[in-house]
Amino acid sequence: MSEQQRKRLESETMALQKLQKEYSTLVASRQKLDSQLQENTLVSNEFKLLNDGARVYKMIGPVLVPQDKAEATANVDKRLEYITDELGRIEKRIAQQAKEQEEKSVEIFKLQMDIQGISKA
Amino acid sequence: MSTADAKPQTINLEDLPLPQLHKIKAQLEEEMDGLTTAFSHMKQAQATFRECTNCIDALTPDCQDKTILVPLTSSLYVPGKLSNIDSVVIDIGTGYYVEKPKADAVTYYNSKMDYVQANAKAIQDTVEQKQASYRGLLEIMQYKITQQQQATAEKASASK
Repeated sequence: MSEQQRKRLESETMALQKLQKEYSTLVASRQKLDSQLQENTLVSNEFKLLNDGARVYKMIGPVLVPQDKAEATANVDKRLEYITDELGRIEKRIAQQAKEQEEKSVEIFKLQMDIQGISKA
Repeated sequence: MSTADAKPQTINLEDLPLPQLHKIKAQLEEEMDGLTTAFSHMKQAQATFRECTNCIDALTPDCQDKTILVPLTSSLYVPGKLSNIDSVVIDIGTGYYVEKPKADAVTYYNSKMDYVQANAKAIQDTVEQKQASYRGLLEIMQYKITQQQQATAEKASASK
């Protein structure tokens, strides 16, 4: 095994590890967004069931502040929109990262094959 | 639950080498662990909702104008009087609260319980599925290991 090849394998492995780390942070943030989406959808559904005269409060710090129902509904819907956008964006990045990771592993595998072939010869 | 493992897989497990089977086994174990934790969270949530309905039931007309202690912090209480026993304020999530009559509040909690129950059922089904494939995987691994041992034993006796 030549020094050059060994160095290259090392750096490629490091790169793969970095990719894997980035990937897991992406997945974690997707999970977080997912649960936020769930919660906001539930709240939005609940708002739909309420009649217009219902008294809605928002927790600001330790106090409950009365809020207009229409305003609260609009607020939650806007949040839903934002979260869905964000989820789509992250989903795309996850797909891209997965592809990059796969390419890297193939590269590393090839490199290992090369090294083994040489050490056997 | 997760979308990543939903891709169609028609690889025959028996064709895979042992190290890969080990990897699959670890993955399955992790998935089952996660699902089981989720399941217990669901059960906890359900218990909380049930507790809430019980509390609402405890608010009978007899309670009108009764003195109560209102917790300001976990260790400081001030005396108060129950003036309204007809409606309660419910936390519906993301910092929003809604005032509802008692009957509506009970309906709300019941629908929540049903929702959680449906999810818990789905998780349970998935866990059972995973367990079935896990058992299958273990069998195949066992078979592979015995085969490998036989092969090495034959090799050893042949080289004598």
